[in-house]
Amino acid sequence: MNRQGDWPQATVGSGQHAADSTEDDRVGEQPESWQKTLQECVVFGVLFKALMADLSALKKLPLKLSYHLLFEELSRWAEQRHHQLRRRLREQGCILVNSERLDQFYRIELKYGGYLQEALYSIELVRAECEQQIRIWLMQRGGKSW
Amino acid sequence: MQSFFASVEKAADPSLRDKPIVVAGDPERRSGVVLAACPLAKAYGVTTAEALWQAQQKCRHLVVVKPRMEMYVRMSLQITRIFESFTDLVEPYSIDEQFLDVTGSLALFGDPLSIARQIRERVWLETGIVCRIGISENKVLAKMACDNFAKKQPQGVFWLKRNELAETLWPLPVEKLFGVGSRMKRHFHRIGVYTIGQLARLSPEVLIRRWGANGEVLWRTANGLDDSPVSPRTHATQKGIGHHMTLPRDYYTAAEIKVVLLELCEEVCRRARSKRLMGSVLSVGCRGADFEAATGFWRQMKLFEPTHDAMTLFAAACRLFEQHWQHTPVRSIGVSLSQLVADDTYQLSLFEDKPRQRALAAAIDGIRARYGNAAVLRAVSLLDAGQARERARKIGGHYK
Repeated sequence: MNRQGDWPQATVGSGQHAADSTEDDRVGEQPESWQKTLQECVVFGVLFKALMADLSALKKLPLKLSYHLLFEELSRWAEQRHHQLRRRLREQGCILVNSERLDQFYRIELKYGGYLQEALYSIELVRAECEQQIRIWLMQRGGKSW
Repeated sequence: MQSFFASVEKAADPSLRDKPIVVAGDPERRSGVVLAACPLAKAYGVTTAEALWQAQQKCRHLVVVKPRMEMYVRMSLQITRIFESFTDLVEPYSIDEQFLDVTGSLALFGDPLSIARQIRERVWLETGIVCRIGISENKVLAKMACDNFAKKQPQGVFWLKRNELAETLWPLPVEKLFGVGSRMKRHFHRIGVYTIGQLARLSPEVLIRRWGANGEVLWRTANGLDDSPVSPRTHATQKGIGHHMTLPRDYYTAAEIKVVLLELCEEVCRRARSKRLMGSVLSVGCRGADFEAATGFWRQMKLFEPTHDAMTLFAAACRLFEQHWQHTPVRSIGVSLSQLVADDTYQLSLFEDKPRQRALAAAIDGIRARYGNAAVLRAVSLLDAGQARERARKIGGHYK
């Protein structure tokens, strides 16, 4: 997640008692918690699907120029990141069981620590994060040609 | 939740994340009040509930966002569902405040601080919203832990222990006590009570003699005593149905005030019908524009029989209004219906065709449910005084 200005850290402490707790207790302060990886994995999964849907819609349109290359490269990147994150998630002990879009949010069913759990991502947040990732990708591409 | 409405907007729009934003009434009309200000805006001195023009004077590059109540309600429900994965005892207190009883979850999720951390992390990662958590052994202490301490901690969690109240809660000014507003604060100052500790050390009999049951409640709150359980079904039983509206300008004549009264009666009865309830006590209230110099009234009357018919309610509301209105300008009006009973049994009348009236109301309700509240309006709502069309675009007085 992009953190600028007052946009807070994804990691959290434990208030005045943070000092009382051990390092291992500070779940959010671990360099990369599985929840953070899961969130990124969901974002890239949705981004990849959205790009593929837009690309197929674009193919049907009579356009003056071709934007396919841009879309294809972006979707390849999103897919690659999604797979990397999925692998890392498995290494962290989390297995994705199911994901579905409900009316109000994305529901992810997962297995972690022997328990079946669910995570509910707000649609607005995932959309915003997808746009943010595209922006980052475009900036990283900079002057490179397609 | 930290600046709930503003946080939702920032989560949904990355371009707002590094800007001072407020969610306010109507940015296009440059009217209304600040509903929520993000921490960046608060750093400029912008406060919740101040007029938008005042906020814009304090911060010239303030970004004003129109409220989207449907999204906030949806987000609140999503957060409730996240909480429910930690405990089944979740009691919504307001759109951005909830009580959780985690007594039965300690073995599974760890101690309260660890649970608080997990909740904060999940809410942040799944909604993009920062939450503040007050921990204590009962609801009022948890609420005060959150309002007075957790919000000021950078990490947003505070555990208020009952045996440490003398060092933590009691030195705070009396107005920081849950349930003490500006008027109660003046009363306490008059009897020489300035801190929560001074109130806690008073004899409860003194407070009961002066303020009745409310005095005892405040004494118990100051001493951290609260026996009410965290109850997920606390809002399941409806005691009353009411609607209140702050008008865009002062209304001076009875004719224009009655237009709004009728619209409010319609709204109250529509909700009562949707819940299959009728009420037998009607309350009507009006207030002037100057909320400090209180003008207006709030009165109630017992109806002849329980009803959810808008015109019956309106006729009674007009009677109350005419009896108590002192011809002062009115800025806010409220109507409420209480002593609710199920609407499956009702008294038939020789002089009115009640089944027909009910069928008509049901048909109108059906149209409104399908096509929106403005799909069927009374002709008076088209007058300048009418607010129904504008109100149909809002939830709780704010834009959907």
